[in-house]
Amino acid sequence: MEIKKMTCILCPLGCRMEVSIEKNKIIRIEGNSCPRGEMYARQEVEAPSRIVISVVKCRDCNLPVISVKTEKPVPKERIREVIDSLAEVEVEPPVNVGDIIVEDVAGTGVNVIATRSAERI
Amino acid sequence: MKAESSSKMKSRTYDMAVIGGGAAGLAGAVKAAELGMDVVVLESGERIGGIPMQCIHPGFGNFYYGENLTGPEFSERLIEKVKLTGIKCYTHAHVEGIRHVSDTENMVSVVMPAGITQIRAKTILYAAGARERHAYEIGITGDRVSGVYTAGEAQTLMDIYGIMPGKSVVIIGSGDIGLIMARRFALEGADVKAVVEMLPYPGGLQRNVVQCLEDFGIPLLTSHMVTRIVGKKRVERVILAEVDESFRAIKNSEKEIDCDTVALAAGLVPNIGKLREADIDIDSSTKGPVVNEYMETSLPGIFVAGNALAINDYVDYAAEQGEQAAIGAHLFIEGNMPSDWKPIRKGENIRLVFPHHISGGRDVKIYARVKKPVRDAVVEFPEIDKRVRKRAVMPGEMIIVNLKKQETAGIDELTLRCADGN
Ligand SMILES: Cc1cc2nc3c(=O)[nH]c(=O)nc-3n(C[C@H](O)[C@H](O)[C@H](O)COP(=O)(O)OP(=O)(O)OC[C@H]3O[C@@H](n4cnc5c(N)ncnc54)[C@H](O)[C@@H]3O)c2cc1C
Ligand code: SF4
Repeated sequence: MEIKKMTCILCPLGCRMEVSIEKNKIIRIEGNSCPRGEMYARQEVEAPSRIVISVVKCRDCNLPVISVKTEKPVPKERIREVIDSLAEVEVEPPVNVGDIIVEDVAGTGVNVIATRSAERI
Repeated sequence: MKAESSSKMKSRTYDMAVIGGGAAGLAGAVKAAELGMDVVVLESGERIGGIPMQCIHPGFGNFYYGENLTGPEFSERLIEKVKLTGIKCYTHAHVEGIRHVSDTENMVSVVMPAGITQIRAKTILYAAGARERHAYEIGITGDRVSGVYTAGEAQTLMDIYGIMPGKSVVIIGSGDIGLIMARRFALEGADVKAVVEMLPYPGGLQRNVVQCLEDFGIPLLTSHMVTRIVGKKRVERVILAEVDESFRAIKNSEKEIDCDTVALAAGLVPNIGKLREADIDIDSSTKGPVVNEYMETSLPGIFVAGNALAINDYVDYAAEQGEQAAIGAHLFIEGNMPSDWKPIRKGENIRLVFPHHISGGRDVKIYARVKKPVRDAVVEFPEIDKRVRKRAVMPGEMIIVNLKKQETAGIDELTLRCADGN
């Protein structure tokens, strides 16, 4: 049996929880003060995911880089790959907020979109 | 944006001059324009949008737009509105002084590419944001080396100009800004050695402690203080010590951390220099002006909103305050500003509370911070039996209490307190 420690982030109380896991299955969750904590713990153990943010180069733009984000959360263990694959990307103006910058980034099935606009200089 | 000839600006009297084109200023300008006021926005930077333009992480707009946006997305939405309403915005327009000539006339002196210009306005919305505290303000000594940045400077380099400030980083301060910068450095491949915090607990939201530090295995050193920055040309290491309850360094607790960059996230202070000269009342706990529910300062017709009023956790609050100020400015011009104000006082465990005065004539939102964390807290106004229960309150997280008009009718004053609910 494995015990995972985590802090619930759903309210300022920040309950410290211990999740007992056996054969990839959650068998016990302790330390949460309300049911939302249990929900959070399941999500964090079974499919932890995050929105990834970064910047990409922008050629001939009024700004050297523009900011981007993944349209949806990507699995936590793929964050590094997503960031690395963005290092090579260069866009050209005009860019509008919401434009798709990379489709299906690093094979995650998630698009990377622009979060700021840019014009040609 | 094109500059109008200075003589034309001089002869015109605006209903409202907005100083600072950030979240608070733009939201206020849009609201004022919607109310039919003649508005001008004066922004010292290259572009309008304010600080969120360089905060590329999500966490903006949850309340204001009901959506979780990144900083630039939040600001660009406001900018879109500004464009649609046709509000006049001057960039590279740095306000260097405000003169309250009379209760219906203010002169704003602006340094612009076209020269120094005087702008006349019936009301002012001062929304110049905050400034970052520097190393000397938090007692750090040592060599004058390169590689020491405020969090904001580091953020501008990375997220506006695409330049990495360094490879191995120590962050000072565990407020949300420090935590967010730690993640930002880690995401771009820097080795974040530690986040150092003087208090025994992190200053920022739990969400940020988990997603910015724990996700990346970044150590958080609470009850620690960086005492010295060491290096020849560039930062080479920092010296830190453990501190006791009164923040004095504990003997023989010193240690060193090697790093080439120090990012200071030592807190923000309302940027009110220009208002101080205008001689308004300041609250020593918010470090911003004393205001009524319309965010009007002690000088009639001069309003303040956003981080210039008090350091806000969320951009949403800054935008809301800007809107309240616009509504107030509109009332003021129409001669309908209430004149009877009731004070809101600080009671048990309340570090700050604003607005400082309310009319009792409409619904108002009260913003406050506690001194100490409390579990199972009761936040209350005992005079009117108003009680809000919270699972936990933290100094780093603002408390919001919405007061209804009928709850405050007929009161003389109110005291906010926060006690243990057990
Ligand atoms: C690193 C960081 C992370 C943050 N993360 C979040 C988050 O996740 N979620 C969230 O909701 N909020 C977040 N915030 C807070 C949010 O950015 C602020 O609450 C908000 O920007 C305050 O708005 P403002 O209009 O008061 O100030 P600002 O946005 O700072 O705008 C002030 C403007 O005034 C201009 N100005 C200053 N002086 C003058 C002058 N003399 N003349 C003319 N113009 C002047 C400045 O150039 C600036 O454009 C974060 C802040 C920082 C620094
Ligand atoms: S478990 Fe419930 S009470 Fe505890 S932090 Fe999570 S949401 Fe808050």
